[in-house]
Amino acid sequence: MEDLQQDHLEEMDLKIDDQVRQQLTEAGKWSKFIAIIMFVACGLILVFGVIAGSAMTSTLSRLGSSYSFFGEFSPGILIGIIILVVAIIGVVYYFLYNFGLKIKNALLSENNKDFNDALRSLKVFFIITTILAILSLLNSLKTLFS
Amino acid sequence: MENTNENSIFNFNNVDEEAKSNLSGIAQWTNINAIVGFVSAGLSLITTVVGLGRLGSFGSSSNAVGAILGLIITLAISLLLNITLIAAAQNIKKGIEQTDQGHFALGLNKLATYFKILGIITIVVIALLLLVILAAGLLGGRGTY
Repeated sequence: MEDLQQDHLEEMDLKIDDQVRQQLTEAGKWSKFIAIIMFVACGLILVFGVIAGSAMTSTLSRLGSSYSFFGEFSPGILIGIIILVVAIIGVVYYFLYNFGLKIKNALLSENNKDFNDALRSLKVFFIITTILAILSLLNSLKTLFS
Repeated sequence: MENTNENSIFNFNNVDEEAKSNLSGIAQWTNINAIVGFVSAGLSLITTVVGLGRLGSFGSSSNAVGAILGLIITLAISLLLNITLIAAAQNIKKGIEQTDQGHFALGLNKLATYFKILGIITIVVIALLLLVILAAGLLGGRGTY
């Protein structure tokens, strides 16, 4: 009797059916692709940013007082900012990559732990991107009204 | 025992409480993300209109056309992404709250569509960047002879 009730409850619950599996597989595939592209972009930004940043800063500081605003930035600070931005982007897209990787594993091995880890990674990805979007919006508002 | 639960096919087929909690969180944050996206789109519209007003006083029409074109493309992409994201959020939320498999599947379908659109935009941006690099290389090469 108890088993029957349990079966009935499980029938009423949300299921990871074929349609859901297909959607999650597709979401995971695309999110992994986007994350890998962003990692490559981060690498390129880091390499070219550091090279161009140090070259630009030294050139501007050599040009003299009319470019003093840029000249005040030491190459170290500029490179530090570039590394910080790349690190933030890298962390954000690590969570998206983790979602893509774990959801694929979870669906293949039917592992609840991987499934929940994947969903948690996706949630963290959306939390961070939302916070960054809010900060960007506030910055735009500040610029508009200043 | 715990290992059996984690790997059981029968348990996996049902969305457990932890997964529901994570999915609710995803729905909540995607909803906020989409709303912020709509506000940002509106703000960029206002900023461009204000900028065009200033440009108009200088009489530069080619810059204005470029700005309008850029604005239309940005707004179209932004609206498409945020409408898809908000649909995903609402359907996943409804699916969990009402234990409705149809809404749940539709929500995940919209989430997959969101990532697909983002992926396609990424491919387009890469293609455009490669074209620009190729064009710059060709023009640069021609300039040296």
